[in-house]
Amino acid sequence: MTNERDKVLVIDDEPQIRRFLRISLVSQGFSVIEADTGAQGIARAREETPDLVLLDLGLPDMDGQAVLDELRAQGSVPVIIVSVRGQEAEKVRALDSGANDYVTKPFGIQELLARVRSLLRHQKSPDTTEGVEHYRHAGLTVDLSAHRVSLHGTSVRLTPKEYAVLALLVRQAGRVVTQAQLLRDVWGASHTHDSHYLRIVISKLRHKLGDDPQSPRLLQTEAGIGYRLLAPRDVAT
Amino acid sequence: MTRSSVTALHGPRVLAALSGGSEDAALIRSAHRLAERERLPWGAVHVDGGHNDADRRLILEQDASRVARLGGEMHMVQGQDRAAELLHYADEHRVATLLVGCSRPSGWRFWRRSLPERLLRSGGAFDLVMIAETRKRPRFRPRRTWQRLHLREPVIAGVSSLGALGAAWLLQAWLELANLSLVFLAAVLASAALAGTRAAMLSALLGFLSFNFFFTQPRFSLAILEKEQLLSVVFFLLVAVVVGQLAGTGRRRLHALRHSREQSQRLLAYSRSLSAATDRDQVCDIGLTSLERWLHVPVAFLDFEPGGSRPSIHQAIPQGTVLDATALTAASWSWQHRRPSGVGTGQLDEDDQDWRMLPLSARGRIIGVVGLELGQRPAPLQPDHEALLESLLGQFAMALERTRLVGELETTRLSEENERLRSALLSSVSHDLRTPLASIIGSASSLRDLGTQLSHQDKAELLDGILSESERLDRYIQNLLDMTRLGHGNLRIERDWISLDDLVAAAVQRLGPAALDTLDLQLDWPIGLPLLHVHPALIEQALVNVIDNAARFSPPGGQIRLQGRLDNDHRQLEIRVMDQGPGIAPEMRETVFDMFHTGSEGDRSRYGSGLGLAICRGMVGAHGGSVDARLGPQGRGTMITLHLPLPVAAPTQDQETHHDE
Repeated sequence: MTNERDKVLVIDDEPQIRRFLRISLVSQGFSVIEADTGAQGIARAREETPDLVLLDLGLPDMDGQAVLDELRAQGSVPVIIVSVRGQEAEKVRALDSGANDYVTKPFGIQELLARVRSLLRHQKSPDTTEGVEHYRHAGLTVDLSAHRVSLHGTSVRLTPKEYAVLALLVRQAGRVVTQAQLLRDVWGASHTHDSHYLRIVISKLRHKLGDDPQSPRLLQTEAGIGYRLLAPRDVAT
Repeated sequence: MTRSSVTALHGPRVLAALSGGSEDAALIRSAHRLAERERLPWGAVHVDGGHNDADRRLILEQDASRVARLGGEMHMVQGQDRAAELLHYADEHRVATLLVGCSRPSGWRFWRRSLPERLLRSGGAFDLVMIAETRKRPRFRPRRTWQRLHLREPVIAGVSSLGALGAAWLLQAWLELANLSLVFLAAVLASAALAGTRAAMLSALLGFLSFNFFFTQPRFSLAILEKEQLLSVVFFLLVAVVVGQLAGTGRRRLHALRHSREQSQRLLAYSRSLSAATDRDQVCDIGLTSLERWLHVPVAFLDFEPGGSRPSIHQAIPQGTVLDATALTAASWSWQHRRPSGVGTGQLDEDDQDWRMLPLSARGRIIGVVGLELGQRPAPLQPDHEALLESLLGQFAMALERTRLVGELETTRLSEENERLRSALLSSVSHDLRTPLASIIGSASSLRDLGTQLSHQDKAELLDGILSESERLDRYIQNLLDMTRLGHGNLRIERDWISLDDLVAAAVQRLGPAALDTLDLQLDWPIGLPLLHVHPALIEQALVNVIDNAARFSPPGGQIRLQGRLDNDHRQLEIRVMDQGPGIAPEMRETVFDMFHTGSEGDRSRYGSGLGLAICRGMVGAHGGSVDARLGPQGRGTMITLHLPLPVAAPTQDQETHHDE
């Protein structure tokens, strides 16, 4: 599914991390360009027009957030935030201001590759192909164009809110959707802090879809950030 | 005449005129109640004519604290004429309601009108409220105790009158009879000045009698024949009585002033020394010492375990003072009831007690109990002593509370500082442990998961990365351990002789090739440098940290120069590490040596954990040396210098030395 020479820009100040990312990504058929500062990263993104950016939030010369803003000003290149745990607030801020996904350091290579593939797939096939209008995984089938949800062939009755949340997650399948985004899109801009609405709807959805929060096959909680509807490839990790 | 300068607008609108009598309490209560109802500011005023005895002063002290407690203001006005002063004060402060007590004019001046009557007649622009005394008491106050008659009063009166008699006898040839009375008047004045009003009155009487007996016709009889002489004698008596009264009042006022000045100076000195005290023990010491010096009885400060009721003597003067069981019981009682007990308080069967226990409290909290062994004093405390005692103890309690608050503040500040350091430590440690781990986990998972798709060279590169990052992690953990040891002060320095060559070689080896990968390390020191007498592992760690730091900041292919030299007076060996990195801003050149100085920057800083240089300084400092950061040579990069003191008689390098690493 991956284009042979997708170009990935790695912006990270740690040479060892850049090195293993380069080796791994190149072995998977990507071409890799590197930058060790934010300024260099912005410059290379402009020159080389990468298909995807891996952005470390902790850069020596400037805030990762500022780099993200700059990248967004240039275009809509998908950005995956790479950062250490304990920066949840920063991750949420980055996701809310346009980053597409994140991975937490330290991470296994498969996790990263799954995120990269998922994003590139989405990038290549805007709203038309399967995976966006249609979702099929772990017995769950969602057909957004037909407004149909079924579990193991049996149709599932969802309330409008439940459906709206599920639809949003399906459109971003495999990627994290922040709590604020879910609340804003489903309940409206004035409810971005009413996270209890979301908790209730998610737990009902889980119940109706037969998903176990302890070992989710479908709805994964990203603590402090939001939710992710697992895509077929994610589970392979 | 002095008046408190209170602006009319903010002054009390409801005013109680206090006299120092028993009706004051009722006046204060009524004024407060009235003011509350009308929502007006209120206060109390006392016109001090200078003849307040100790009783009245005590009552006034109590009045003042009562007024303050009820939220009013108390003012003192000096002046003789109560009514006039009150009118003036009320006028000046635009008082709406004036409350006065219904007391009778004092004793012998029966012709004077009562205060309310005089205020009414003068018609001030305020409502006058008269408060009847609520407490029943005899009409003539038996409490008005005559001060004890001293022997010196009649003696002085007698001697001065005798002197006057002698002088008049000698002068009678030259002076007229009327003028001779002036001599006796002088005796009255002298008695008044020396011994007060009563002596003056006695002297006036004696003068009158002897003048009459010795000088008027017929002589040596009390009968008087001539009308003129009768007038002289009567006038003499009148003038003598009035002058004697006036002079006596003047003397009394002088005494009262001196007395109150002494008291305020004692209080002032006391509070000054208390305010200089910085901790609880000092406050106790000063407080108890002044009490002991003043009352000449043993004093003690008793403390109670939180929640417990068993007192323990915190401090006592003279030292080694013991309290018997009764005293301790009294102390517990005072602690629990927050009331004084023992001698002179009417609490707890006074007869058995030698001690008086006075609870100290501040801001509604009881702090401790002060014990005074008043049983050792021959006489009970005077009322004004009681008042002073109360003030002294109030100050004592406040000083104790102040030191407690200061202590609490300090504890809070320290724990905040600790908290800040701890969170900086945690974020720094987690970042510095995780960064190499991220590379290790990433590389290892790539090897496992993508192994078949990787070339030989890629695999080797990933393995190299895993190794060098593991070494970095190890160095970091070593730093953490070193820091803990430095922090706990149990760093044992085991000195050994070692050359700079060996030290640098060991440090470079420990850093590993990966750390100095593309860099150009230049070593530069003269042959024959003296040996160092240091703990090799510690100084090696210091060097590792400095070189690691330089490497991290060097541009690719940059040069790191390591220079060793003796300082000018050959007392220290200087090791300089110079890089071509971005340099350190002048204001940061000291703070880079602070532990976790990068903590607040979290992930964003390339300074790493902020541990390396701090540990370097700690290690070198433990050897009596120092470390500083300066601008590099040619105004470029950074130069970190380790100054290591040399032993007085250092063996030269040709002596064979070793260090076991």
